[in-house]
Amino acid sequence: MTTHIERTEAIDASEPSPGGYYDRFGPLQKQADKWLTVGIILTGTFFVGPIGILCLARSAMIMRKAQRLGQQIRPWSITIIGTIVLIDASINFLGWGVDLSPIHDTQLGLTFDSGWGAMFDGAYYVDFNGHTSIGGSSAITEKAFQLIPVLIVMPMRIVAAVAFLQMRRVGYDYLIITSWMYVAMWVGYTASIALEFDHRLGNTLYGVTGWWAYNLPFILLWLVLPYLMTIEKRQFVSNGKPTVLPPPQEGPSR
Amino acid sequence: MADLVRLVGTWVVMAGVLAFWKVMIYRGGSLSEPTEVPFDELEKRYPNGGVGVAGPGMLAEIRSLPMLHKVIVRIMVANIFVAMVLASFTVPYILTRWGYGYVLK
Repeated sequence: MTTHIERTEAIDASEPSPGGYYDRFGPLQKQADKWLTVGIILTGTFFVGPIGILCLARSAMIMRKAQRLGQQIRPWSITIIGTIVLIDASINFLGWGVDLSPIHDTQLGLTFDSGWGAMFDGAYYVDFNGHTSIGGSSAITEKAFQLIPVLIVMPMRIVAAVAFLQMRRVGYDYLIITSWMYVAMWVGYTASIALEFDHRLGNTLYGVTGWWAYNLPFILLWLVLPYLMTIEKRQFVSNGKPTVLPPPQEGPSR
Repeated sequence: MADLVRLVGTWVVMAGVLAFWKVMIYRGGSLSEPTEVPFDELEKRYPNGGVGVAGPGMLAEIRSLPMLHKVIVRIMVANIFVAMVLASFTVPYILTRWGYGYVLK
């Protein structure tokens, strides 16, 4: 027997939960998520990344323990997808934010940007802080592209991924939206760096191969899209309570 | 003649791009809509409204996913490790190679 379930039947079928979204999970899930969030933020800073790894490992251990104790936890695949999106968005948000903002004038910014530029993008050390009107990278297109991730895509994606990890419907919806934005942004960014090949890739230690080796893990995040578009979206709710699936309908199968 | 080839060729390519997105939106969009599935099967696949069940562990859960999801989630697990390594050791690498300050200027 089959039954057709409308989208609206599966969500908003119950009253808002006073305990919020974590009522769906066991008590250890919230504790694990605190470590997860701290670990992702630290990893995303680049500067204190090794400490972030320890926090992420601690979070995974807590979730493993919760499962062994028989507590309900978020599906691991949701945790994995949400985590990589958050790490990636944090890295891009802060990395590009350092160059877009006056941080590029600080010794910390100069060390990070110029070192990274020497390895992968010549515009970050050849004529760095000396070509564009707002400083930082000397590639004009790079400065234009920085506005898109720093002001729009990455902050949206961070918020969407946090909501996705809480299994909110809005997080699921906006993760799809920002994933398409992400695809569009990477196509434009990759084209811009290729168009200024001599200046940007020609002036690096590791050249084209190095750039792709470094950026492929980030570009590969477009694979999140087919995952998101084929999972059961009714897992994601609007009011913090488990999805209520309607009973089987009587009558002939459709 | 060359202009005609350019005009027609360009419009053919652009029509192809349009057709690609038509397929993506129509087919891809329908993938994300609720489909007709046996109710028992739904309950089996998504017990407790989809919240993870206690017991099987991360690796077992990933193994039990449909093939597409299994592949994507495994790539993302690898991505997490690579991204963590990149994010964690870029700055130490820069510092040990060039030191603190304005490098290669």
